Amino acid sequence: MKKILLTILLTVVLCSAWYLSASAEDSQGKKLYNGWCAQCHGYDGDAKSYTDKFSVPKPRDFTMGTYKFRSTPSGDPPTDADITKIVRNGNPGTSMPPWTRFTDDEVKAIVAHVKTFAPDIFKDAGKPITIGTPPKASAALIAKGKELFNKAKCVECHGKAGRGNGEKGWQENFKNDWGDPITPANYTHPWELRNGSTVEDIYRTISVGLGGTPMTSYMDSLKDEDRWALAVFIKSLQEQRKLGVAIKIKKTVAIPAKVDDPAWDSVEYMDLPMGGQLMFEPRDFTPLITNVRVRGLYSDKEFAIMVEWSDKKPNNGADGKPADTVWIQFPQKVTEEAEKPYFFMGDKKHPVYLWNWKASDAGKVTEQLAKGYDNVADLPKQDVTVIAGYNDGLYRVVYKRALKTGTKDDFEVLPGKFVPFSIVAFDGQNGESGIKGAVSSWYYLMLEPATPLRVYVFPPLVALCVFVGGLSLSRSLRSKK
Amino acid sequence: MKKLVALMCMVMFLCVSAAAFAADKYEVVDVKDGGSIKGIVKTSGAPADPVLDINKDTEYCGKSHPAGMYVIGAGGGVKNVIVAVEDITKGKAAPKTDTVIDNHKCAFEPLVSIAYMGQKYIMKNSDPIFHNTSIGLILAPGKKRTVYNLALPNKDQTIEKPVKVAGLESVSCDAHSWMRAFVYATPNPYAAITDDKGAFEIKDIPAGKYKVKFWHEGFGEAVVDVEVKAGAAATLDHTFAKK
Ligand code: HEC
Ligand code: HEC
Repeated sequence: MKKILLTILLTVVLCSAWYLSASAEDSQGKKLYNGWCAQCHGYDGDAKSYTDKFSVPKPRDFTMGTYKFRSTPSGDPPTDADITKIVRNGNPGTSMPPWTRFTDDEVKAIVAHVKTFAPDIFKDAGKPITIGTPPKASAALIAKGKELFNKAKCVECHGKAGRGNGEKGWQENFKNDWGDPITPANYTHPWELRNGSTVEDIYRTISVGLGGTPMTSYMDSLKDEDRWALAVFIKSLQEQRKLGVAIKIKKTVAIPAKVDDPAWDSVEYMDLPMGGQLMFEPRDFTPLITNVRVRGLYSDKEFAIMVEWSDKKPNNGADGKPADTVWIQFPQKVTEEAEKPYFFMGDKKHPVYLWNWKASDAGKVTEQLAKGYDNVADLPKQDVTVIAGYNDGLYRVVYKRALKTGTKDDFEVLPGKFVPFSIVAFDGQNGESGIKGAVSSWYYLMLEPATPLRVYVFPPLVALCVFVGGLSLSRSLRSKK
Repeated sequence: MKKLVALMCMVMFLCVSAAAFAADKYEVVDVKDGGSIKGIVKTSGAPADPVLDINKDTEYCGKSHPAGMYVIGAGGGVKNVIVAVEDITKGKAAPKTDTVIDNHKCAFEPLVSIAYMGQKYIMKNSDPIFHNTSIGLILAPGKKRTVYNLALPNKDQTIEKPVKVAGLESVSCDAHSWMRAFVYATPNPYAAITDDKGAFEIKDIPAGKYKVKFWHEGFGEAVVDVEVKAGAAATLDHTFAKK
């Protein structure tokens, strides 16, 4: 009996000592976590928070014990350094912000607190894999990587050009550990890569996988040098964004009649970062179209603008989801001395033209006049034509119109003059339609005069418009850049 | 005083949860004169076995495949039920048997298996197509914690990994959503899988009172109390209600 009493006493003493020391140590980490992380990740680490509806991917539920970003083999927990890295750098393309406000000690305390939500997985520390020096990229190595890309079946999920459109990615249970649907990554958009876009990052992703996702670990099935070759190949698919405020459109003899005419590939382009439409209900907090690329050509009589964007899964409206859609907006009155920027879908005083293309009727474009998001009418006379195509994860829509239509109130496009435009794009797979879609800020296009000017003078107001127009979008765009 | 009581409660709670954690701790002892549990798992009515709709790699995998979910023997015996003595903390050593998970003809073989902590998973691809083997601890419907997710891009590739996490785990292949299997990973030897007739037997159990869990992919779960007497066989039949 005495023995039992003693044991109980000892247990209570030990437990309370442990409890007291633990609570004293954790309090700083817990305080900081509750102050800065809990609104997304939940006070109990279970991601029960108001943000989960507005965030794709959802904030991590730490209680489940799966960590996506690891330097450790499949089956091992992340290291403290792995968690610290994501806290410091944030997660590009998601709502997870980079945290620079904390000292190293504070981050250490926060990381320790985060680990308490799933203590059992941290019983044994994970051992990071060795990442050596990447080989020098060469044509031969890229070719080898490409061969492996097919042989190791990456292509089946990621698609031929790596745009994330492989057929295996589109199955009913293609989900992550948290039960949310997921899609393969688009390599051509390095800004969307969550685990990093350097060759070393890609090598790490291929080796250990992304925890809790279908992105599986190849460490045991591919040799080290093969994983490096793959990483170099994937790096070679990444596109760098060409940002700007205005796109010059060059003159040509004849505008190509097909969307995939190789002539288009040598035409200078500009990239437009996209963000969700957040001004009017229904807002788009979780857009998937992060970039639209535009380029153009003109002839004596016509001009053409090609809009190009990645879409992992095309929707033409026949599968119960809305049809993929894209509009170009132009202000009704093109004046370089615009009084103020034309916002999304214009207003009564500043109507905009919409050139509205839908994948459900891909050979057609509808010209509309919008005087606000709730006031849109088809125009009686349609002057724009369109050709469109979808190939291996990439949409191309080419709009064509006469430089001067003769239709009353239609804007004229003259060489050397800046025309404001913006793009709105909808991904049906993501449930986008109506006014819930991704928007760009305002940009300018200009037909380059046949004898090029030596200097382009930006009208001062043009620069201002870009700035002010950009501000209204910046909130959503900032996280995408 | 209130604070003290609160603290005491907290301490109690923490101690209890610490004890819960220790549940997958297992002590190996000599079992002399142990008892056994044997029985038959039946059902009063099973639905028709579903047919899996195959829509990827159909040239190799075919277009459909019986799920093998409800394999019911004569007399209503249910095959592939996991039977496990859940709360046993002491007993004989688990066998030194590895657990093979083979990707064969676009299905996992076997469908249901037992893995022993400290032994190995042997993941294998017998098909000339890509498979990946993703093992995850089942946490709630539709939610899991990945234990391993490994690529097996080529035929006859084999990967071995230690069994480190105990519990009921799902096995899936992200490339073929219809593929599935289940593994019960345990630190002790006291688990079995029912045969064609729904029969099972678990031997050499130290005498005592236990909770036995029955789990089946389609019928779900049931926990039943049993008392094992030294040197005797306890009979534990179970019937899953009609689904
Ligand atoms: C605005 C919402 C938001 C806030 C605030 C936020 N996070 Fe996150 N966090 C996210 C999202 C969303 C993800 C998921 C990214 C993904 O799945 O790719 C994430 C992911 C993470 C991960 C990655 C886990 C893994 O799987 O590897 C860690 C660690 C993390 N957050 C820690 C923190 C910490 C610590 C704080 C506070 C200092 C914090 N987060 C604040 C939204 C947020
Ligand atoms: C079974 C389908 C599948 C296969 C096969 C596959 N992947 Fe992935 N991969 C994915 C998914 C899904 C994601 C996205 C995970 C996410 O967004 O969290 C991904 C993401 C990636 C990423 C980006 C990670 C990041 O930073 O966001 C890279 C790089 C990658 N995969 C490379 C490869 C390579 C190389 C191969 C072949 C050796 C391969 N993948 C095979 C499904 C697959």
